[in-house]
Amino acid sequence: MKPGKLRGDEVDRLLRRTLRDDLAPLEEERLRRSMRAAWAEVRARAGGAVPRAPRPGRASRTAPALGLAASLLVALGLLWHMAQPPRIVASSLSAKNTSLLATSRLRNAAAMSGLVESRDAAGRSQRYRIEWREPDSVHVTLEEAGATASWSLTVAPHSSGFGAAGVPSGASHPESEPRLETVRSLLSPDRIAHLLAGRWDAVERDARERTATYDVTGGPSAVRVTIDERTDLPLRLESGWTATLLFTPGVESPLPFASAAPAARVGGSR
Amino acid sequence: MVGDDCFYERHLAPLERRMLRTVHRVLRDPDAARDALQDALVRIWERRHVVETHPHAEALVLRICLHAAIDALRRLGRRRETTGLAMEGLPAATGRGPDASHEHDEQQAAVLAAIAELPRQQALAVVLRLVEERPYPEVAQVMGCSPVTARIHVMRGRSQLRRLLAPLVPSSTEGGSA
Repeated sequence: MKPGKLRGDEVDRLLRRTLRDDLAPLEEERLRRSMRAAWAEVRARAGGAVPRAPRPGRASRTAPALGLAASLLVALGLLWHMAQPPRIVASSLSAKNTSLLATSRLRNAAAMSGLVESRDAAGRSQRYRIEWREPDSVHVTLEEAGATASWSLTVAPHSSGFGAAGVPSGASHPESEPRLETVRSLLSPDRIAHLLAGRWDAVERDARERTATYDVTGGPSAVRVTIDERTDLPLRLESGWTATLLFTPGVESPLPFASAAPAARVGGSR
Repeated sequence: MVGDDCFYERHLAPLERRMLRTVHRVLRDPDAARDALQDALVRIWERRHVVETHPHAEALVLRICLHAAIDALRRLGRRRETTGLAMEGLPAATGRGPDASHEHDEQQAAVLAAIAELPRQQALAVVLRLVEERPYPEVAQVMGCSPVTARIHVMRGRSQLRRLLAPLVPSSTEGGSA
C-alpha cells in the first residue's frame, strides 16, 4: 500500500464505512444486560455514599497518618489528664479555697481573744486585749504607757463602727474614742472575716507548724494573714499593727441563722 | 435512596441504545465496550446530582460515555503498541468474503488507531460529526462547547486524519469508486 493523499470528503466516507453501525441485536442485548448489571454493581459498591471503592492492593496513604495523629492526640490527652496542674493555677485554687474556709470558720467561731500591738504616731507602744464571747458584745482593754483603759462594747456585725446601743464603761464614748480606731476592724470574728474579704495570694507555708501565710488585697485594707491549717482560722494578722488571735471554733452548721436563735429567745423574753 | 433507585430509569434507560452503539462504534470490541461502559457508569454515578439538574442531561451522559470510549481506545492502542501488536484482528463484520473482510478489518483498525491518536476533543468531535453524522448544534451540546468551537475541532480532527490515514489512499480510493 503506497502512501498518497486523501481527497476532500474521503476521510468522512472512510470513517462512515469502516465504523458503521453493525452492532448485532443479540450483542446489543448482551451489552444492555451487562450495562444494567454494571449500574447495580456501581450502586452497591458505592453504598449510596462513597462513589468508588478503593482498588485492591492500593492501601490508603492517609490512613496510617490519621491513625498516628489520633493516637498522638489520645496520648497527649492522657498526659494532660495525669499531669499536676500548673503551679500558679494550683496556688491560686489553694488560696481561694483557704479564704473560703477561713471565712466560713470565722463566722462560726464561738469565742475569740486577741492581742493587738501597735505604735502610735509618737512611737509609743499600745497593746489591746480583745475578748469576744457573745455575738454582739466585746470587751477591749488598752495598755498604754503604764495606764489601762477598758471598754465593753456592742458591735454591729457588718458595720465598721460601733452599734447604737454601745455602752461605754471607759472615760469616753466609743463612737468618738480615737484610741479604739486601730482595733475597729478586729472586734469580732465577723469583722475579721469582712477584713479578710479580698484576693488571697500565697506568701509562704510552714509545713512543720502547719501554717500558711497569705497577702490579702482588694479588701477594706491590705493585710497579711497567717492561717492555722488545722483549724483554717487566722493566727496572726499584720497591717501596720500585729494581731495575735485565738479562736474557739464553733459548731459548723449549714443554717446561717442558727446563731441568731438565742438572741431571738432573749428578745422574746416572757 | 428513592432518587437513586429511579435515576437509571429516568436518565439512562431512554439513552441505553445510543450509549451502547456509540461506545461499540468506537471500540468494536464487546469486552472493551463493556469495560468502557462500566467506567462511564461510575462517572455518571459520581456526577448523578449534576446530571439530574443539568439542562442537557442527555448530552452530558453521552459526553461521559464517549470520553470513556475514547480513553479505552487509547489504552487499547497503547497496550497493543507495547505488546508489539497492530490494531488488527478486531471482530469482523459478517456477510463478506475473506478478502473483503480482511481489507475492511485492516481499514477499521487503521481508522481506530488514527482516532486514538487525536486529541480527546478532536476525537469526540470526529466521532459525533463524521461517524454519527450529528448536526453541529447537537455535536456542540454533547461536547459542551459552542457550535463554532465544535466545527474547529471537527476541521482539525479531519485534517489530522487525512495525514494519519494517508497510507490507505489507494485502497480507500478504490473502495470509494467501487
